[in-house]
Amino acid sequence: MKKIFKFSLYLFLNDYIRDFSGSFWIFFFPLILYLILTSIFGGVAKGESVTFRIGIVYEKKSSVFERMVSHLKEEKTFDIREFKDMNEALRRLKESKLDTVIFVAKSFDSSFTRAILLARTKMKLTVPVDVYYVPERTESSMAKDVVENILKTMEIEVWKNFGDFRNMKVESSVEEKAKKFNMAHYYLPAIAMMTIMSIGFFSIPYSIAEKRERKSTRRLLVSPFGPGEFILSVILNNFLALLISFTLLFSMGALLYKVPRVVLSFQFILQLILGMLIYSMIGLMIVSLAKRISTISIISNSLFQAMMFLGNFYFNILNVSWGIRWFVYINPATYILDKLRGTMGYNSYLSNHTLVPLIWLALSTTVVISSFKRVMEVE
Amino acid sequence: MSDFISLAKSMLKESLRNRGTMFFTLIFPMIFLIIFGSVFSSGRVGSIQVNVGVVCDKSMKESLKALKGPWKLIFYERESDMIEDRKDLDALVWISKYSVKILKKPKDMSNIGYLNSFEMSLKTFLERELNNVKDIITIRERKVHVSGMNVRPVDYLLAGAIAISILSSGMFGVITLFSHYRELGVLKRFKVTPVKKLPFVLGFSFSKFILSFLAAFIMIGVSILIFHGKYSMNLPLFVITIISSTLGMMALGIILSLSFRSPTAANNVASIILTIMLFFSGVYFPITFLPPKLRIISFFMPARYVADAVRYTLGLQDMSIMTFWLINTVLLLVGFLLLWIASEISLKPES
Repeated sequence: MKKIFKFSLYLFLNDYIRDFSGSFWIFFFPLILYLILTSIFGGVAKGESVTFRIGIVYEKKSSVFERMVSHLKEEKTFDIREFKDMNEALRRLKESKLDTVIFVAKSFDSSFTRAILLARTKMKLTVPVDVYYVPERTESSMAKDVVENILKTMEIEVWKNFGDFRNMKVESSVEEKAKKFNMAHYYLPAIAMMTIMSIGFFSIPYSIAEKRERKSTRRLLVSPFGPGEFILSVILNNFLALLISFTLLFSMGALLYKVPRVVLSFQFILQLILGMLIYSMIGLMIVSLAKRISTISIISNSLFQAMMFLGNFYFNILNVSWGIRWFVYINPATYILDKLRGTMGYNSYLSNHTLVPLIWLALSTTVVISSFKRVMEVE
Repeated sequence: MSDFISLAKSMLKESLRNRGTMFFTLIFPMIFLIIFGSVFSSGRVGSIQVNVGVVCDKSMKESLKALKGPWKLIFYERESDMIEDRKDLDALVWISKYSVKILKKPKDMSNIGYLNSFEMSLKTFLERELNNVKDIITIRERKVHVSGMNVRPVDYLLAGAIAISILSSGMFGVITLFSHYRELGVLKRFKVTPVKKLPFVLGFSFSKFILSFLAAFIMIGVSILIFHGKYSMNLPLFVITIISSTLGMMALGIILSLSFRSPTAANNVASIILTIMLFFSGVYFPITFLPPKLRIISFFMPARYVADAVRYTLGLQDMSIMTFWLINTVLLLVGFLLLWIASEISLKPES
């Protein structure tokens, strides 16, 4: 046992302290990514940081329409610019300098007044307002929807002037759980999972493959330090790396974003350990199946990116088409992460968090045991 | 000329034989393309499933069905039935003649914006119904497509993804040359040959251009075949964009190679830059969605300008021709200049 710990420490110093790349990807890159994600998405989730750029083209100055949109100019969500030339406004829309363009015809004021006068009669008249948008741009479609809602809301304001308008009493509340939602807290388990996957897909296979190419693993086979002890040392070494990485991540989260202490609970840590075990075995499986470092790189990078983006890490993937959704359901990261977030009090999307991860653990362990010698030997 | 041709041929062959290079230049960007294209095919992540449970009078049920938006209204006759199903609902709504109560409980917090939008739409709709408000304004939606074709959000997104793959290929490719070859002693061996610096650098760059073209056209082919992408390509301008953006990003790779002796360190920093570019270039989500203070970062991202140029050449976004040429000229000039400086430094004979 002492030998295993000593060798683990040696591997840790070699892989993570002497090698800048090793320490960078496992200790520092997760912190950088966490900072970027929370800075960007923290405000987006609440709709706080979104700005819609709206161009208004007046064929003739309209005091009515100007009054209708005057309060929008004071809101940070809207960046309103006026144009005299429709072609100029449409050019900017096509160049992505505007999100939507509203065209107000020269007869707007007179038509609007007539429409109001006739509104309560059988002679109905409406005033057309053209809203131009680029449907392939998400922000343009959203801006168009927002503008339409605003104009419809303004009709009600106009109607209120007729008198005896009944307001609809709206009692709106948000569930306690949803009120407490914090993007920084939500992303912390995703970053921890990404670190676990980095260790499993990159640190472990690359470290062993390099030693295998240098024939260090072969020498171990003839030493009293057996292959089983070597594998255990590799796993322990990486558990130590995860411990340090998670400590740094939690410290940053607690300092900057007041991440709750539930992430230090037994259940949360147990899930992390399970995740680490599963991905360690997957990493060993990769290095037992692939001979060369270039092949390992290809397999590891492909699986890492696929499992990260299709694991519910950054956005909900469970309602995409089945052409890709099947991968989400066979991905062990989906379940481990869902359980980690469930431990923090967030809604869980999945019911059984154990079966798929355990299948992966069993499968990878079987492959490693059966092709054990390939892990150690250069062929 | 013969030096350039020999070097270009040998470096191209070396790249084509290198499994890793081929995978990361051709296959890996395609994996991203397929993942992001499948996930964002509707312009949003998957199809929105905001389930709203509603308890209301029978007479209101039919008119409420006219309330259109990214939500699904599920009507219940009894409150107890709705509460029993609450786990599957994102919001519970009780509507009476003069009041409405909404409890928002999104299963996915990213849908809170849609629920807020639903609340606003519902209030407006009910007040109109209650007061028999007639339309005064008729809103006419006018779709604007740059190329005249009916382009979809996924086409717009995939064009940005193509830009990112061109950029990463250029940046990482040159790190391989100037850091990795330097470490292996390959550059030292070239110093003692009669090969001049310019043909050497051009020969290497040419092999990168070929791979970038291959990658770009394969990705366009995949997006057309799998996602039925619609592009109105201006081929000459597209080719110019690929050349200039590959060269421009090679310039960035050179700065990193010269700044960091170890190829691993240069690669790591390049990876950080690529990650930042992914978020701040407006490729995967609009720049106007970023916090205002962070939007300024996007102005320093080459990816932003390259993505705009690629979209322009594919008929997805308009741009003044002056802006297009300015972007490409800057990338070309900076790329050439830095390649020349790097070749002077790296291939300088030792005293």
